Amino acid sequence: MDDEEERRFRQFVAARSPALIRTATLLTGGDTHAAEDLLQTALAKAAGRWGRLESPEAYVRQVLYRQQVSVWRLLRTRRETTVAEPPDSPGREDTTGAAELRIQLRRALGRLTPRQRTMLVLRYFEDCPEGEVAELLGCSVGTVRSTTHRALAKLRALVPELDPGAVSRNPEFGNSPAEVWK
Amino acid sequence: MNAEQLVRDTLHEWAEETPPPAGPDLAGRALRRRHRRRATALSVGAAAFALLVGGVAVPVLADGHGDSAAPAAIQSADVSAHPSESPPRHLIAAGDVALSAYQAGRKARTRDGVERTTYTWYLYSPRTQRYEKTPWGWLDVAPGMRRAAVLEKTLPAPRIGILDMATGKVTKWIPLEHQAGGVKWSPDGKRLAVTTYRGYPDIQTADRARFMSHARTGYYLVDVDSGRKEFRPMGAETDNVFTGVGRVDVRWSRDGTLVVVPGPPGGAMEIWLDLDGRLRKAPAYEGPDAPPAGLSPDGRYYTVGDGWLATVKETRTHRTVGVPYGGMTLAWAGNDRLLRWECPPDRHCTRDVGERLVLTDVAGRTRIPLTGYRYADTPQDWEPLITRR
Repeated sequence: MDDEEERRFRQFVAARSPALIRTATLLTGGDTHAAEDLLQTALAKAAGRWGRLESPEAYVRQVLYRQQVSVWRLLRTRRETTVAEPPDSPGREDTTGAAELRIQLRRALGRLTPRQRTMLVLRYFEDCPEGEVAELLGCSVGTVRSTTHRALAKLRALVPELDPGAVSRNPEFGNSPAEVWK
Repeated sequence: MNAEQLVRDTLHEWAEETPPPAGPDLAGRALRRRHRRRATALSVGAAAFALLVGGVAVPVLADGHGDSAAPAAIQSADVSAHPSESPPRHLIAAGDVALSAYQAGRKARTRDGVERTTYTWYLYSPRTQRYEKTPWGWLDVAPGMRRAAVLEKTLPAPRIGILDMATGKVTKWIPLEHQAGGVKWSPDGKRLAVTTYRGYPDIQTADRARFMSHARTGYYLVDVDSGRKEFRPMGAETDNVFTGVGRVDVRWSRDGTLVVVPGPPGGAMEIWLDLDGRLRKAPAYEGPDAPPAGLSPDGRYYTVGDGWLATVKETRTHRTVGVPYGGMTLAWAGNDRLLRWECPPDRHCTRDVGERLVLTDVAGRTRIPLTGYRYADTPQDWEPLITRR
């Protein structure tokens, strides 16, 4: 990277890092330290091939998503499949307020697996069509669809108020394709 | 408002509240990290460790020696890695398997035409949370990592000790009429297969007469709780057929219903016997070409070994998954993760060329280093014992 390229890289980071850190924070379920480190890693990768990138932002975002799903698959913790601390006493609090519901939803998003959370971020934050999500993550459209379904089912189980009138589900619900919420 | 719209709104609202990156000079730090990444052979690098920070893991950065991008440790609820340690000092584990013990300090000395290999066993101690040097001549750790079966130096030993790993004390001794050189726990942790030898088992010699004075004599099946034991002669001298040299320990099949007796008379590499001593067929995916990992817990994949290399195949289609050859697979850490040796990229995959234990996905593309590298004939030479924890 020559001086000119480095200057352009620094400009890119200064201009785009606020937006990129937002995505990274959502991907890590609200952990700002992890998000910053994740972003820094993606930026380091981008710096390594700076002169050859047609769209640096698209590249950095792709690295963010892929890192999140691939590495976490290996380092996943039991926390992802068991919910040790359910959200604070759902049902006993006043959860009718929209603000309260969104706070509960954030906590629930933090309890999804990184893969599930990444799918939701791509589908509902980035508004990517299923085909694009599949391409970004290197999986099939069917996987995108089923993971999204499972993620939503788990959210509904964790926050029953999300779907008023729906049957309450166990937080573990939705781990096998046969149980996908329809 | 439906659930999807609520999720959408929540994500956008959350994003709006996210402050800009707190640390100064994000670009500068990324540029510096790029240089470190280039300087290191780490296959996963900082990204893996960055992601571990997410509230469930604590990476401890190395203290300025060597590759400063590599953390000295990774701790999460599921993975415990110490990529800077060789041999390991702190627990190495992933999923439901762990490095329960290892041999180190291997030395080979030749006397009277017989090369004897000696070593020291290090056993994980839950009390100190470290691997501790032991006086034992041989040991095996029971599934669950609460008990170990130990043999005293110098092998072969006249009794087996059952060690409580929490206290480090032997709680029971089981005396043997035939002296033992090796021991293996059954997969259910209730029985032992104890291999008996006439002399010290870890030897090599070209002299048949000298080999015979060390050779295997048979094996015991021992019920640990009752102490009941049954001896089966399975010697090396039967029919006057020479059957190889050194340690030829009996081990268990994956489900614990059979034992595998390697190098028996008659030329077969190994024979499979049920617990009454009747000859059986090798179970699928556990034959001589199956590396230790074998069939995945859900049966979806199996591993095929070739020397120091191993390939993962899909059971249904027998198609190779991911990279065709990687380092030897040691154990499945769940349905989709493997513990294996990582081979240096620029060398042939074989033992003692500077390999380390890694956790990989099935395809072998994403790798997390679990230990430091080991090298033959150095203090970094060690041999792991992997156990279900």
